Amino acid sequence: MIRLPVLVERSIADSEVARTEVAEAFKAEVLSHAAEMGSHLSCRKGCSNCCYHPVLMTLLEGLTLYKWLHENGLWTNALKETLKKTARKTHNLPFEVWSLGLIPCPLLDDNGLCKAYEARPFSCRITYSTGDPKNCHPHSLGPGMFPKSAAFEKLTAAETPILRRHHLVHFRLPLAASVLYGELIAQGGLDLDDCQTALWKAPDGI
Amino acid sequence: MESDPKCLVCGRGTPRNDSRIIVLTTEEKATIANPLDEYVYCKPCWNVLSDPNSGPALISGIAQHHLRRLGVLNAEELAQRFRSALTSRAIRRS
Repeated sequence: MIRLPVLVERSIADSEVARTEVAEAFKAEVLSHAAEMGSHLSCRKGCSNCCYHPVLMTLLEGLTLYKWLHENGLWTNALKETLKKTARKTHNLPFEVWSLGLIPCPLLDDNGLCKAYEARPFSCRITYSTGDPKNCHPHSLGPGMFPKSAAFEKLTAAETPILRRHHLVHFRLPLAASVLYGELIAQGGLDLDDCQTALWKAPDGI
Repeated sequence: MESDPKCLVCGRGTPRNDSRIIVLTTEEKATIANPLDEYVYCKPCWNVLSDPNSGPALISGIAQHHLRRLGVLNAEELAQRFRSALTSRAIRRS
């Protein structure tokens, strides 16, 4: 069990509540839209077309995901190595190149399933398709996934004051880098209240 | 002062000393139409391009989009074949 300062634990819990509330409201919106259009969600277990798209998250979300992986016995040397490789590859990478390069999510297993599905990032929780799932593949030019920018805007508004408690500006990092920073913070190698400058550096330090 | 060259993949300016710059030989230039004097890639894009998995995926993905825009009906199949060929070459080289 990882023990963090009470104020950090409080912020982790508050940000998780915000993510859950926004994600649930968004799901209701998508379902209502699909019903109006006479369609339904086409997302199915084992389809991993969306797992090659960029996923960004705040440091608090990275910390939450690291804690979950650690507490569920999934934090292994192999996973850490995969996260490091992905962090190096996705650092400062334009989203289009990331998608077209089909860089898999480091949490995707060989069967096309998410190793951390229960604790999956907010960006993944609000990913829905109501059309042909083939269109979600990054090489496809089809309509693909349901637009999620409105949900991100709502989450940003909710997360910003929580991040400010720790002198952090609202800033999202690629999943791999964020989880590795989460480990560093959880293991005492970096202070959450004093890490803004570290976030701008190359991922060599993680 | 000379401005930074632009990365051929993402189009961002990239300092010469932090880029991968490829200059083709005369023989290589003879095999392609309108060759450039040099091919400049920024570090992040080069990391993807030089990887034996993501490099062929990126090149074939771009090819698939171009083929689709040109109205080629079997763009996906052609891009897949192109990717397989690039991947096997990349694996042989690595």
